Amino acid sequence: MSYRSLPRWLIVVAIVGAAFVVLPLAGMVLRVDWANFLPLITSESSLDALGLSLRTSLAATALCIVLGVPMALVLARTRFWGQKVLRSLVLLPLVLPPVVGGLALLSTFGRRGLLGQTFDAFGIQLAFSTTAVVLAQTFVALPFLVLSLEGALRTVGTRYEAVGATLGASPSTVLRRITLPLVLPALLSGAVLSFARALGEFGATLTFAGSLQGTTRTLPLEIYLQRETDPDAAVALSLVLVVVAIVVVAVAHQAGEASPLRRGRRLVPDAQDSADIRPVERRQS
Amino acid sequence: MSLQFRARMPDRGFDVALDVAEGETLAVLGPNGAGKSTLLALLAGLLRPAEGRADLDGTVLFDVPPASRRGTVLPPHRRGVSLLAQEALLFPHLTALENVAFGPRSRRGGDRSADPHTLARTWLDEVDASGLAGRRPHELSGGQAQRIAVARALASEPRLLLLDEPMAALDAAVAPALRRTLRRVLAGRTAIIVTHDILDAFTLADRVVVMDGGRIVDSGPTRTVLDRPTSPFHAGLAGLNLLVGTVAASTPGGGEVDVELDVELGVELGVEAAGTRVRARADAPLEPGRPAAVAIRPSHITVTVTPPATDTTTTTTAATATATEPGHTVLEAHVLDLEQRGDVVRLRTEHLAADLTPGEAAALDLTEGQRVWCRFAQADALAYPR
Repeated sequence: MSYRSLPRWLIVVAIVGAAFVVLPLAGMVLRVDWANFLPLITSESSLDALGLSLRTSLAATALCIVLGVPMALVLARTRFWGQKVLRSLVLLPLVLPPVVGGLALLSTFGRRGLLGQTFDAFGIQLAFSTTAVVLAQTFVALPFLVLSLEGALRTVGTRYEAVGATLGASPSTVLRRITLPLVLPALLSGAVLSFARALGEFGATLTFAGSLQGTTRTLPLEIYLQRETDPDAAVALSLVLVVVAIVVVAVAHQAGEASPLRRGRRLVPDAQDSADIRPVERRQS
Repeated sequence: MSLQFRARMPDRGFDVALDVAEGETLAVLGPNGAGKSTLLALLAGLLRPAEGRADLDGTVLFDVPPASRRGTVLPPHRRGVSLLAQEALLFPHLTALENVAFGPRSRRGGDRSADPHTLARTWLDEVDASGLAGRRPHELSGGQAQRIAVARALASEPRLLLLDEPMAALDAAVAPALRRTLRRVLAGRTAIIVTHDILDAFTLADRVVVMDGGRIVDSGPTRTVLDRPTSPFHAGLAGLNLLVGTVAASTPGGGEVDVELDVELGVELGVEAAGTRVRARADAPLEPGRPAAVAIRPSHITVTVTPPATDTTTTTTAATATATEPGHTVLEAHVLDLEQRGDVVRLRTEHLAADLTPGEAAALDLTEGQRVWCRFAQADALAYPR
């Protein structure tokens, strides 16, 4: 029996807090028009939005991994002048209002933006395209991956990497065979969180990519539009997003649990191998 | 010479030069903070020296001229130097077999014809751990894991093997088995073992260097160095009493020597301090006036609670610490503490320690601060230059 020292009033406040999160979800579920649920979420515009959301979010997640893994490694494993400032800047999209992020993207990749003219010269127009949706989602989701991966890299430390190097493994081999496998759970949960953030992206997408059905109108935009004309459809689509979110949280949680460093303590007591260093049958328990 | 090493790290007060011959195992002893770990990190390539040069079998490990930011420092994976640490540090996501196969698989350019797994099995066999091949590190005990780590370090076929207190994190019950394994696999291998344990030095090393404060303070063949300590740390390590002083008189051609003890060293003798002389055996002639040390095994000291002179009928005054009977020296002392060590009781006084049997200790009925007389035969005291 372990001692619990929590005062009763604190538990009451905690219950209020939990209710504050759970009740609105319940309220929404109660408002769902179950009779027309399937037709509502399978209308052409809904399916377009859902398909676009999944495709762009997956692309954004892939982009987050490609860009975020090297960023996390550089932040965690090197020291250079201005590193702290750079880390703060990289994490900025986390706290920035998404609309502001969208404006920033527009001023950079838009037709009259910083790099827009360069892209224009090659006949590429980023703004108000599906690519713009992916860029907006990557912009807001990248910090999630970098943050969780950098933390994991610091926790794992460099001792295993040093051992690998003294065994003759080049830095690339160490990265591929030691570092990445060790932080794989964090990479997975970071990727899942990035995917979730990309899926829910609204402000930056609307500002930078607009709202064209089938091209840039993702599920959150569709829900916002439907709310004006068909509230039942908006609620039904919202429920779809809630289900996806729950699945994502569950997967991310699982991935975090499966860390090889956290998986169990020593099963075999030390005394055993003084007498018996010959094959010991693996325990079934 | 297989390894020639010289490096300075002024910010750590580290300045060491040493050589290790082909196939030789060198033990590095020293108190905490002596710079032993710095030495290993410099050799493994995990630390960049401020200045120095190291050469292993003709490969330059590093060559950094003084006050220069340039110079060559070979990265760890190109050195052929394996490091076995206190903790096994097996890669947690790989099985024991895959851990051992890691080195052979990662080797670039080398002999690719040999299958890494076959090699790994051979090395697991070598450390008596073939039955553990399929296990994950978290399914291994500390001793088993360290055994696999030895196999992993050797499987990468290092030209130099570094061992950083490989037995320190293990239970006392497990250490002897690993020590036997190491003794077998280190034979004929160029290796440096850092240790606190005198037994490791005796059983595993051909030669010993003693480090203190970032420098080498003593070096030589294991037995010579350990039998002739010159510093208190060193003497404690070797389990010997150390008295330091100056040669007062010596018989021509060696054999016997009188050493006048230093009082500055805190050896506060219960007798008229200055001029306390200890007669000891000497293997080589010692010149009068030169600094000398006298080493005596605690087991060679007998303790009495009454001055030995009263036991005999001679009229010699015991307080002068000269021989009360031919060939013996008596020093007066006070009990500091008593400690049970295995089957002996270690009695510590302000300058000498004595090992008594429990029966002797009980018969003496000693208390802290009590006056005792320590006696040892001149033949059991060894004098040598320091």
